[in-house]
Parts: sequence; structure tokens; C-alpha cells
Amino acid sequence: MSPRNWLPWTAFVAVLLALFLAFLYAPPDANLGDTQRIFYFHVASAWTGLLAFTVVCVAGVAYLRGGAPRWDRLGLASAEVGLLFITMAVLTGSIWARFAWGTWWEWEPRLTSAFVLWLMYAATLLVRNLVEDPARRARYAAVFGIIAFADVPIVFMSVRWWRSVHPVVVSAAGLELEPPMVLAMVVAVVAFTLLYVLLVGERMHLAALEEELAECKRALREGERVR
Amino acid sequence: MMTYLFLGYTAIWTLLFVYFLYVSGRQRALERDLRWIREHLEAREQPVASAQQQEAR
Amino acid sequence: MLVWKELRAEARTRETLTPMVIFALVVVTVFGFGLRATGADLAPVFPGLLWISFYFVGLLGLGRSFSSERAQETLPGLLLVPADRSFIFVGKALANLVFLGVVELVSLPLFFGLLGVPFTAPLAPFCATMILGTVGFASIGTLLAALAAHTRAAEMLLPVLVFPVLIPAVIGAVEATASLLGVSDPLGWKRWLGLLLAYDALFVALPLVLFDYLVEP
Repeated sequence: MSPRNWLPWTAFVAVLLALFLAFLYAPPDANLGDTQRIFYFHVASAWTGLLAFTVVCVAGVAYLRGGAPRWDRLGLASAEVGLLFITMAVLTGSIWARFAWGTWWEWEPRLTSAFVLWLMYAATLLVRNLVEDPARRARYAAVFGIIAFADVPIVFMSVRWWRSVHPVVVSAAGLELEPPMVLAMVVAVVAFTLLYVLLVGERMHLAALEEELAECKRALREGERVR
Repeated sequence: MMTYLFLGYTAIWTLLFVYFLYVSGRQRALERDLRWIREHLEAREQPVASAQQQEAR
Repeated sequence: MLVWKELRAEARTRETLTPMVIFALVVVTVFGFGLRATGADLAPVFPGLLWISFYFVGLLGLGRSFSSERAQETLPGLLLVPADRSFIFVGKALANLVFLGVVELVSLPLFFGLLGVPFTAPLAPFCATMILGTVGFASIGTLLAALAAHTRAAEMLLPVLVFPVLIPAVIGAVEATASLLGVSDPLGWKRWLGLLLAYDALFVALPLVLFDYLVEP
């Protein structure tokens, strides 16, 4: 059976299971109460975003080395879906900041790094939009994807150090994770990873269709000219 | 305080849902276009059909 | 060789360097009017102003470094030069480095003088900060300028590409300068220089590898 048959159902069941664990199985946090349940899907989307951008970098390297259009489609799909997940992570992070520390934005290192990541991958998609020639578009996007990914660790480290210089107004309340909470988190991560694979697959299929359509249109136009 | 939890989950699922709708909608539209174009191309490759077209002109 | 070509062409026409220097002066003036503070009041934000100004001025130079080639169609000619293509990159990047360096030399005294911030930094680490903060920018900026040059809306795209990638350099340069000027922990600059060094090493090496893929016909 091809993954297109079973993957949507597996992802669906995993998401249901993750929701069940996050809402009904994991106990409410001792300090933060029920609202702490944002945490599971916040972590899951941040993780998936990071995974997506790793895939963008790998796809970029593979494309530059071999030049197979398949890798470019993977890079495109992963950047787009990754941007979606990082958006979710930043939004839930901001909501988390509002409820835990009372401000909509706290320059917390992980959240800030996620936002910088967001900016970089929005830029990747812009590059794709602004280059006409498909081969050049693929090369440029691959190059920028690699640069952006190489920047991620150094951004994270610098933001961390920067944060340590600027006095923290509110302390980040440390989460004490009980085993059921860890389980809920892991399942949420797995569910979102499956969802990511599913979405990337669909987006790649879409990109393939777009290329095919462009090809057909070209054939059609040449046909007109021959006549 | 539960508003925030609600807000967070709304944000996540709305985004996912909208993106999914966007991708599947585009896919369906593209598949339709492709089918149309292929029929067009095939019709033209048959000499009879093209002769008929010429006559019509 | 190519570095010389680039620098000499520039010396002849002065079409990049002069606007850059003048823009830097304009920026200082605008800050003087716009900030409603000088001297001690300004000191905490002064390092940030300094570097953001330099990076914006540098962006002007970057934007030009491939646009003149595009207008005169000399890039295909350059590609025929039987040298490794990364020499083109090195030439352009060094030219950008020199331009921004000149701008910094000219405008630094003005920044300190006109905004009334006393220069209290030890000279050697301060120069090191200036150099390290500029090298990484020139290198990664030149690569991204080459990338942006062949897109629609190149001028718009360049800052959007450069600044997110530049954030560690901004943090490192600003914090090192702040530490050296006594605005923050006076010993902190060592760590920030280390960060800048790591950033520079990464983003000097990476463009050298990647530039070939950008100009491939």
C-alpha cells in the first residue's frame, strides 16, 4: 500500500490520540493550571518547524549536488509547511507569554530564535516568488536555504547570550514535567511530525502538478507556433 | 484564564485547516486544468481532428 | 587581480563610495535631530545606532556591487576569465569590505563628535570589533547581493534577505561596542568578539562554497 492511502488516517488517529492525552490524560500543571495544556502542541509545532528547516537544508544540498527537480520540490514543500508550523509555534508562544508572564511578547531565547527563523524562511519563499527561471529559482532557493540553516545555531546561541546580558524582568517559571505530561508531549510531537510528512507530500504533489501544467502549456504554445 | 488555552488551540487548528484547504483546492483546480489541456493536445494530434479544425476556419 | 579591477574601477568613477560616505553623514545628522538626546542620555543606545547605520550604509554598497554588472552585462565576460569563479566573489566581497571600511573611518569621528558621546574604548579591541563586525557583513552580504541581483525587485529583496541572517553579527557587534564604551559589563567584549569571530568564519567559508552555484550559467 502506498503511503497516500494509510498516512492520512495514521496522522488523523495520532492527532486524536495526542488531543486525548493533552486534555484528558495529562494532569493540569501545579502552578499554571489547565492553560499549561497549550504547551504540548506548542512544543510539537516548534519541533516540526525545526525539522522542516533541516529538511530544507538537506534538500538544498542534494539539489545542488545532483540537480534532480524532486529535491527542489521537497525544499519548496518543506519550507512552506515549516513556515506554517513555525507560525503556530510563535503564535502559541506569544499566547503563552501573555498568560505566564503577562506580556504578549517576551524576548525569551527560544521564542525569539523561532521568530528569526520565521523571518528567514519567509525570505526563502520570497526568493522563490521573485525568480522567473525555474532552474535558477531552484538553485537560489537551495543556496539561501543552506545559509539560513547554517545561521540557526549561531542565532540561537547569540540570542541566549544577549538575553543573559539584558536583565530578565519576569522569570520563566520552570515547568516540572510529570511522566504523563512527557508522554503527552512525545505523542503530540509524533502526531505533528506525521502531519508534517502528510502536508509535505501533498504540497510536493501540488508542485509536480504545477510543473506538469507549465510543461503542457509550453507544448501547446509551441504547437500553435508550428502551425 | 482558559481563554488563552482556547486562543492557542484556535490559532493552531485554524492555520492547519486553512493550509490544508488551500493545498487541496489548488490540487483539484490544477488536476482539472491538466485534464483539459491533455484532451486538447490529444485532439490536436489526431490528423482528422486537425483537418476538421482547418475546415472550420 | 579582480580585487584590483573592482577597486580601480571604483576609484575612477566613485559612483558607490561617495554616495555611501554622504549617506553616512546624512544619517548622523538625522539622528542628531531625531533623537532629542546627546551625550550621556544617548550612550546606552549609541552602539546600536552606530552599527545599524553602518549596516544600512553597507547595504547601499551591496546593492550596487552586482547591479552595475547587470547594467553593463560584464558578468558573462567576467565568467569567461579562466579563474576559479570564487575569485569573482572574493573580489566583490573585498571591494565591499574596503568601501564600508572607508565609510566607517570617515564617519566614526563624526558619530562620536556630533552625538557628543565620549570615546572611552581601548583602541585595539575597538578596532577588532569594527573589523570583525564588517568582515562577516561584507562576505555574506556580497553573496546575498549576487542572489538578489537576478530577481525581480532586487533592491527590496536584499535587506529582507540580509538582516535576518545578520542578526548574530548585529548582536555581537553592538554588545562588544557597548562593553568597550563602558555601557555594559566592561569585560564582556571578549565573549562578543568570540561570537563575531565564529560568525565571520562561518559566513566567509560558506559563500566561497556556494557562490559557484549562484553564477552557474
